[in-house]
This record gives sequence, C-alpha cells and structure tokens, in this order.
Amino acid sequence: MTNTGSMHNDGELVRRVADGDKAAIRLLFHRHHARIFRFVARMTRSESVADDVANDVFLELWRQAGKFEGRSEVSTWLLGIARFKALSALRKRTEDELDDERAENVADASDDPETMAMKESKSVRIRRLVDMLPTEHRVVIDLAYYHGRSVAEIGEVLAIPVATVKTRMFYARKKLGEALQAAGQDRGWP
Amino acid sequence: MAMNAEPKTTLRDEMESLLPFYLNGTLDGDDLVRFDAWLAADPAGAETLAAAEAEFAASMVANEAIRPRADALSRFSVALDRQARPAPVNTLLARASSWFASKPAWLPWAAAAAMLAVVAVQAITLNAAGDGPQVAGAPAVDAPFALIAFKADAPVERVAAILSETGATIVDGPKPGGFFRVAIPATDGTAYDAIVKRITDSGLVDGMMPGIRP
Repeated sequence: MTNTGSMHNDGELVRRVADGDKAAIRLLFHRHHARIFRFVARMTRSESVADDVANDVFLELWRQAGKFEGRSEVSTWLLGIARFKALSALRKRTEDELDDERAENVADASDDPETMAMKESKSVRIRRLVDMLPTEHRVVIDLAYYHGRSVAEIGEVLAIPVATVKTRMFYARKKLGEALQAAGQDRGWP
Repeated sequence: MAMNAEPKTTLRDEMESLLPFYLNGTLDGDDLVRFDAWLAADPAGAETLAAAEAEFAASMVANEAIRPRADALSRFSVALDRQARPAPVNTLLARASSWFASKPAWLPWAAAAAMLAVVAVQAITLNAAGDGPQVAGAPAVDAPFALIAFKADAPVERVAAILSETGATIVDGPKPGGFFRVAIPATDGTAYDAIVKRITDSGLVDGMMPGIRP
C-alpha cells in the first residue's frame, strides 16, 4: 500500500474523523451513503425512513469514529450500524403505517402468478419475487449479491451466527425457487 | 437408490446456500473446495449457477433503482455542522494507534499492526475480566510494572503468547521510545525478576526499564 493510498483508505479516514476532520467524513459519505441508503430502504421498504436513518448512520460515525477498531471493513461496520438504526426506526413506526405496509404486501402477494408471468419479463419477474421475500431473507440476498458481503460479514452486520446466515440464504433461495416454479419457471431446485 | 438420492439432495441444498458467495467471490477455505468439487461433478451445477446469476442481476437492478436524494450530502453537512467535535478517545488502543501512525516509514507497518493487535487483545482481556478502567487505563500507582519496548518485527503471536504465559498485561503506552507499561503479576522481588527475565529473554524485547519492583 502506498502512502497516498493509506491516507485515503476507509480505515485512515475513520481515524481522521475521530480527530474531527469533516473533509474525511464527507469523503466517507460520498463513498458509502448510497449503499447504506439502499440497504435501509430495502430493509424498511421506505425511502423516507432510509433518508433519515442513512443520515443518522453518518452522524453516528462522526460521534463514534474513535471506537472503530479496524477488525472489519468500514463498509461492514456502517452496515451494522445501519441495521441497528433501521430496526429502531421500524419499532417507532405507528401501527397505522405498518397496516398500510401489510396491505400493500398482501396486494402484491395476491397477484396471480400465471397472469404476472404473461406480462412480465423473466428478469422483472425475479426482481419482483425477490422483493416479495420476507425481510430477513431479502436482506441476506441483498447483502450477498448487491453489497458483496461474505458469510462472516453478513453474520457481523446482522449480529447472527455464520450458520444462521447460511440457513437464511438457503430458505431465501428455496422460497424464490418455489415462487418461480409457481410462476411457471422451473429452475430445477428445490 | 433412494438412500443415495437423499445425501445428494442435502449436498445440493448446502451448495445452493453457498452459491451466492461463490458468485460474489467471497467463498473461501473448505467451502470453496467443496463447492468447486460439486460444480465439477454435478450437472445441475451449471444450471443453478445460471439461476443465481439472474438473482444477482435482479438484486443489483432493484438496489440501483433506489436513488438517494440529490441533496443528501448538503443536508448531511448542515446536520454535521450542528454536531460537536467527536469526543476525544482516550483508550489504550486509540493512543497506541495514534502512536504507531506517527512512526517513521522504516517501522514495518505489519509490526505496528501486530502490536496494535496485542494491545487490543490485552484491552479486551482486561475489560472481559471486569477489572474496570482503573486497571486497563490507569493502573494502581503502586502496582508492580516494567516499561518494555518490543522489537518492531516481533510476531504478534509470540508477543501475545509470552504475555499470556507470564500473566503480564499491557496497561499503558506507548510512551516515548515505544515503551509500554506492562503490569507484572508479582508479589515479591524474586517473582518480579523472574517474570521480567522471561519476557526479556524471549528475544522479542528491544528494551526494558524497571518500573515498580515489589
């Protein structure tokens, strides 16, 4: 690693943030905000909640940078903070909001798979079915595919054992396969 | 036949749960070896790989379609300006980190990282023991200790091992010259000398200055 690189890697930026360097946290914001925002939006199914939570994640980084010990990547650490704050935000949502969300999900789930299959492309169909997975399954799918996290890193972000990550991934993909089969697309498993 | 089919199904299930990690390049160790072997041996492998690639694309498209507001950074900057400066961190690990960061280029970074790891392990051990900050950050003034500087190329495993074997713990530092204050668990001078000698004879020490000897 060159000196120039080390001055700008995420870990070094976090150390600078701990010293009160606002330019460093703005650079980290540039690098990670969009992914954190998307992670929270997918978890909470709400972009307005994600907007507040993602901002709060970086304010938390500002306050807690001195506690970062470099045992994981900064991006993994931020995802862990984001998950915690997203769960807190979900707990604060009113029952009315949750009812709206449930109604929306029921409407989605009630779509006739055969009808849907006729009017949507294969890729759109998979995307829709991934979106319909329960949150705990959709999150592991996103963390692996979109965020490129390993089994161990997902365990760290979600605060669950590695074996549980694998189990959730198994059921996520199994449910997805079954939903695809119901929509007339048999991929041979499960 | 049925008896043979069940283990194969179980293996397939397991491989299906690993497949996303094979695709994203994070699968390693035994999992990667077993996955590669399965992929080469089972004709279903190629088919399911294609299916997972479609899932991969779906996740990417679904996520990329979510766009943060364009003014996110400016709104964050406003909120940031209302924040106080981060509280100064005065942990042992933070001080060690700062010290190593200030070292000249000749100090091997790996050694610095290794020493940090030792300090981190020590801090965790102390915290786990429930001894509280008076032990981890501000040892009793009359507790036996020695000031010890470890060689820059000392392997972390060996430093951790010698400290563990002797019951010694890093409680403060680094101080000028790279010296750490190392608590020596001794109740008399003979025990103190024996522990310090064992550490200094390990070949890992660059310098030692006696502190408080009981």
